[in-house]
Amino acid sequence: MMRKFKKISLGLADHLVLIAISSIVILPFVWMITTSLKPPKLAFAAPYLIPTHFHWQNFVNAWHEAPFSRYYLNSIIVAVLVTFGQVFTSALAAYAFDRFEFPLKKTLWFTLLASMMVPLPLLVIPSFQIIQHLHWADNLVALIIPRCWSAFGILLLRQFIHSIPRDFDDAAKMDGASTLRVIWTVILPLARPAVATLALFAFLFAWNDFLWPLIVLNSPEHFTVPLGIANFSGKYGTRWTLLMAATVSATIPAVIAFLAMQKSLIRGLASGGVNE
Amino acid sequence: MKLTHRRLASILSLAVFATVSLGTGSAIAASKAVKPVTIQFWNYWDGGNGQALSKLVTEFNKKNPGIIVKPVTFPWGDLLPKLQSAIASGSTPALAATDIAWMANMNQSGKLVDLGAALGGIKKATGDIYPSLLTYGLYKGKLQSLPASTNNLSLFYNKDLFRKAGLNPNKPPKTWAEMRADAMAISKLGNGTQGMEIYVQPGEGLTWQFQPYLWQSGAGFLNKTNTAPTFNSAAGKTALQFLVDLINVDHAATAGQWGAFDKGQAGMRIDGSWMVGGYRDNAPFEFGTAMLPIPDGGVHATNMGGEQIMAFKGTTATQAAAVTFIQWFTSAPIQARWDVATNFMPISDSVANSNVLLKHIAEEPALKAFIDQQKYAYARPAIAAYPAVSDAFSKALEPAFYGTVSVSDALANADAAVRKALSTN
Repeated sequence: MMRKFKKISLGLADHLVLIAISSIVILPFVWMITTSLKPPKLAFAAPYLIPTHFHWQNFVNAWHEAPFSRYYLNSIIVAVLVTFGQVFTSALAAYAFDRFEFPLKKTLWFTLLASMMVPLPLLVIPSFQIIQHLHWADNLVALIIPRCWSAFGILLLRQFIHSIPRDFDDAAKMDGASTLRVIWTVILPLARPAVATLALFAFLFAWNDFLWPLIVLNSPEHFTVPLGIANFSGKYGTRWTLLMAATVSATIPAVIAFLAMQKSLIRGLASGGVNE
Repeated sequence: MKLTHRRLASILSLAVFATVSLGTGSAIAASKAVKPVTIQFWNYWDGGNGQALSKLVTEFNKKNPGIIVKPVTFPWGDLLPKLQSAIASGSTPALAATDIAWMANMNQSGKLVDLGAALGGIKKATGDIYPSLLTYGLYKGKLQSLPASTNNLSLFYNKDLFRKAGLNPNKPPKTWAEMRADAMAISKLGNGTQGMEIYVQPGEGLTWQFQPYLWQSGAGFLNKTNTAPTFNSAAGKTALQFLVDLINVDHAATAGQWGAFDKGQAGMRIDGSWMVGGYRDNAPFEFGTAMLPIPDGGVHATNMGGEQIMAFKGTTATQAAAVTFIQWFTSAPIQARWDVATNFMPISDSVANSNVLLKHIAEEPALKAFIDQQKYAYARPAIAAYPAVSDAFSKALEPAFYGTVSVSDALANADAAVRKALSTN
């Protein structure tokens, strides 16, 4: 009885700590949603966390202010293609780095790792010059193609593929599968947690990216969501309720992406704890 | 999956067909009657200002069938780097409107169209535009931009809090001493109410808000040739000491997050005329405006803000289209309507005296303080080093507001930092 009580109270204590931490994490989101539903006059008035007003007009106004549906479509096209691109190229490169022997393999590997140390803003100007030479400026292609390769993605998948026994490859090859087929039908399904992590990172990175689209895009018809949102806070004031309404709208795809990947992510974390 | 020769051949022929037909399509389009010139107009006017601009641009496009102007709004903080990368890579738009504080960078780019030459001489191009506004556009004897709007800083005050503190809501402070007394009275209301809100976050915001205090007390910012700082003087110390004491001795103002005035939690704030419309529609309190209070024996002074409009070099057609738009946009009737929609200040006497604007000011009495104050507006130094100077100045001053560095030390540090910024930028 005593032990049971101890167990329950310990569990309760654990949960109280978890609830406290998650409340802190969730507070800004709750504030964002509540503010997005307030009339502009009451943007700074209490209550801050519980919505008492439902001024849906903010959403209508935010979406009408700029061609937000266009920005949304652009962002979705870019984020989805970048995600597929990164998973595709990273899987091929990661498999090659792990399973094949080829000249300069180590040098190439360390060069790849070193490239992760270069801060992104430093790459903007040379990248932009390349884009201009290719005549891709002010085109969504400039947001997609250069982002389809990721050193981080290759590293992540390689580490995971390394933990998959080669017996799987050999078995598939004995059945007559080509290397591509082995990667696609054997390795990637086994590496699903890592692929899900990479896909989520790639999607969120492409969805949130601000500096690169700002530099390469000039026409509003090509703008992405972050560029549109930034315009709600300007030199002559911030329109908080519209800014928050736009931000709530922009968060939805990220939440959907997370929920879609959640199962694989948790499975990935769990499988890491099993000693095989 | 292997590609058979036949399949490959069919894909290739399809690609060739597509390329050829696309090519023919554009050739047909090009052979049609003269296409209108489409030019982009980069700016940072968002929200209501952006909508006002769109309306005017639509009207311009209708009146000028050969020209299509497309406004593109970029976030304020990002337009300068965007323009700089465009200048570096040769992909500038035909038109842009930028902060006056960035004009030195634009002027030196070598990419701006000489508007004086394009509009039949500087005198003809500028008309009765106020000379103080032209300082930003004149570069090496050439006129490279024209004022698209101007504004200044005045005092906003919360009439509800004035009433609560037993002050006369129709008698805003006129002197620093009165402002201090009013701020102290309001801060005594408790509940976190501040007498005054002071902007102390490092960056141009701090510099732009503090400069009027320097000028009012007789201190300068830089010397006439913009080669050395002049704020580290007795008058400069008086100005900084006044605000530091208001925060740390009188506890009548706070240095921290900006926004207390918007929430109705601060009695006074210095801000621009563009806030008038927003406060009228959304402030949860009754507000008033007044000219900036001045110290005993001091002079009226405020800071001048605004935007310049410019054309970038391109083809003859895009340049001509851009110049036509600039001429139209800076004309008195259009400027008057622009000011009515945005609550910006007039750029010339003919705009100030236009019936459209006079009627608007009569309907919006809060604008009067700004109109009265405009003639006391000082221009910030129009030099390329200004952003670096302002940054260095604000960073050195910030700790003084928190009371961690003395006023003398902060100004001495700022003096050294500004000299360094001037010599290295």
